[in-house]
Amino acid sequence: MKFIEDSKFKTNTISIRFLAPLTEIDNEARILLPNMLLAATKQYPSKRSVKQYFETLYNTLVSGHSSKVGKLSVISFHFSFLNEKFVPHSLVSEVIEVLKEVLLNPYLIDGAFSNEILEQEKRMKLESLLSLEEDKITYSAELMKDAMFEGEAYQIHSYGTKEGIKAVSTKDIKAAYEALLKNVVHITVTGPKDDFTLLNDLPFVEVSKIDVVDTEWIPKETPKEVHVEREVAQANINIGYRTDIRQLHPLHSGMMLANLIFGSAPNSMLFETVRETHGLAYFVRSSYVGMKGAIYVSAGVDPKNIDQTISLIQAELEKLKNGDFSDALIKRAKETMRHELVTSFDRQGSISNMEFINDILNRKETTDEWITLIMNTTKEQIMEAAQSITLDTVHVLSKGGQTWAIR
Amino acid sequence: MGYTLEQHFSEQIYTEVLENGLKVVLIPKPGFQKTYIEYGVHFGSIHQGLDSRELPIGVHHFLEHKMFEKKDGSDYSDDLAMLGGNANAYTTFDKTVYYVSGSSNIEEMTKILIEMCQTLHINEESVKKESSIISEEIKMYEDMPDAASFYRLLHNAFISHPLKDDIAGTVEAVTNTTVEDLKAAFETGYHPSNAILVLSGAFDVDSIMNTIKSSQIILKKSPSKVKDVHYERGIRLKEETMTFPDTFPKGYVLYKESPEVYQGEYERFRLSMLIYLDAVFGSSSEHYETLLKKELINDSFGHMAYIEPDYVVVILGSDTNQPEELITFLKEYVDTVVSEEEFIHAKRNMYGSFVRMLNSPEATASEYAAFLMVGTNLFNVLEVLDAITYEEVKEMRHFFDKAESTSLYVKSKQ
Repeated sequence: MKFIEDSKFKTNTISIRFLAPLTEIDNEARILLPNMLLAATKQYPSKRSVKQYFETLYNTLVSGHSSKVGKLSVISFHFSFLNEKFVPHSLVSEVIEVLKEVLLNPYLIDGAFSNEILEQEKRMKLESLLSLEEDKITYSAELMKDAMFEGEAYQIHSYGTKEGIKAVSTKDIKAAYEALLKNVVHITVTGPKDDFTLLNDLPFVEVSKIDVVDTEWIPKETPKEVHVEREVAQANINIGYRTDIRQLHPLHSGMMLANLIFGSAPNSMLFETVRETHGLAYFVRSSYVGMKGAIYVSAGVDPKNIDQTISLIQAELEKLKNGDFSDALIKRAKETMRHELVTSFDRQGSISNMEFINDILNRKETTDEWITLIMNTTKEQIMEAAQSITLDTVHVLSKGGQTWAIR
Repeated sequence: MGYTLEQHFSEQIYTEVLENGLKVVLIPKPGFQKTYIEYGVHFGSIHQGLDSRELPIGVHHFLEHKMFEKKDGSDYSDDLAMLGGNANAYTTFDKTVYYVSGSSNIEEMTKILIEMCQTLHINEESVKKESSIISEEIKMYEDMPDAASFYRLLHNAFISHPLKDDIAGTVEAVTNTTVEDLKAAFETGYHPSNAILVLSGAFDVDSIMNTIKSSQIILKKSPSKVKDVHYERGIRLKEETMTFPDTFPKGYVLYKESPEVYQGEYERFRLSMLIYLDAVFGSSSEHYETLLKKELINDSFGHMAYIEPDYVVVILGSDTNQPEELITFLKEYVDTVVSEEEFIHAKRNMYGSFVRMLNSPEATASEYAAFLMVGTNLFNVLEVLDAITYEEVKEMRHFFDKAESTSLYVKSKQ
């Protein structure tokens, strides 16, 4: 349990993360599990009574959700409450009771989870999956990743599949719950000073060493091309690239900067070319997933400009590899990273997340050391990192009738 | 004119009105690394007229795009990024806001932001190129049923009031916007007397105030005034069904009323309404539980309340497989007698949210500026909240009896 004391916040947050390898989980049962635990507890057997219980504690916010981090499935619970300076008495012991009630006292009928509650939670999850399809930007990116990671453990959907969700039974939830209790955990507390020793009494095993960076990469002979036709006004282009430069690799900082310069920092190469110079897109950006070794590019354009946009993106990548970008861009990317790192201490969520990521990677550098590393990264290192970027998958979601070439 | 110091909740606020009318607010937040700087003009999509001429729809959002352009054609956000700043902007019905956050070079960034918001550099070519980018943005929203249906609901609720128009305008309006339109909008809408500059985070108060004062560019009075926008009674369309391909069905109902309903107690009304809505339809309410059991709502269910000096608009809705049944339920139960216990819970929730907001320099700054723009003080909220009684929150249900309403059903194209 790590307590990162910081008196500038008005709230304390307890975060507990349960970790399991992606290959060992029942994905959809695990996705529904936090919802089931928050929907009812032994003492508060309905969603309404649970919510009322949290509200009496000055609107203590409790959330739980499941996500992917490299090779791991992570279920995170956060308990955020007002610090004792702002309420009649310290809420710590009551909130720890909340935590125990939610995690250790599920609502069971004859030892089983409630089918009625499960059906309601399944309905909500299914409906949110369906509405995800409306958000063309996110939906098209998920389709691309599905194609890109076919056959790999990482293909597991963070949101689950409709068929998978429908098939989950109360027995599956029970099994997922029992597995959860045996997961290794990571616990952080952030915020002003208070007494959290009661957290040491929890019956969980804290994580020490764990394998997290996902190096699995099933190579493709030629880049995969996918076209999905939908009645949409705008076309969504999603391109997946691979790299073997991941977290903990000596060129990781070079890759982070390369990604910022390419498409993620303000006024990046992609932004300047695709949006500002050619006026083809309102949004165009790239992102780098260091836990997997993947770079994603996405853009929303008029269907008649698909071919030109793809070739512009590829051309910018070539320029990146050849060092055809200014020192000003490097400076800006470094400043952006420095700013992000320095200001990560301004939010409790990012303090907790950074602590978690550093611990599971067994990364010892302080933030200051990491900033120095970034600032000292050379253009050559950025280029070397970029040169490892390989085209993997090109995905287009658009109405039919266009053609394009991958050059 | 000097500083005014107000101490609330161990928060310190320094405010001053400059000679050119710009309101400056400084909120130092010791311990935070980031400084958030926001320059907001009280000029948004509803301000479609100046006393000298009318303005095309979408001009405010168009201007938002153009403000980032420098005299030489390069970008202010480039300069800000070089200093480690992350800049962005947005346009709402009532205002346009430019903001940048950074962890160093604060004085420099503040100077740049002021210059950016007090000068306009455009020509025919740059306007033409921007109109094609904005057209793509509009089309992006057309593919988003949530955004498109929200604007449609407002469009149906008003006949000639500017709330009937999309903030970004239409592709046609944007294509026909001229350099003159943008200049006229800027000269009046962006006059410092119509603006607020707020900083929150890590800086030296005296030093930054001096920088701000010496960086002012617009010193003359405004050539004209933004016309007041008056509330309009009358509904264009009482209900409508929209269809989209591949969409999850939705149901929305909108209620609108004139600001006369405040009876001079704007802040009290606003908080009472928010408490009422939380008590009646919040996630711990009886109605929420019923709606879930009847499968009329899911996680997307919520309410939005626009309680502004010139209008009140309340929207309730959700993704739902039964849009008509949902709206029927909402219209029947929107007038509910809340219990004292629900009232106490909702009041406590509001207190909790308020304190939580103070964790974020950005949220504190932009909320403070939003309150100031309508002539109120964010830090009065707790005082007003404390004074609100169960009786006055109970009374809020009558708002829904008298308000005009329109409903929108969204279905999937077969």
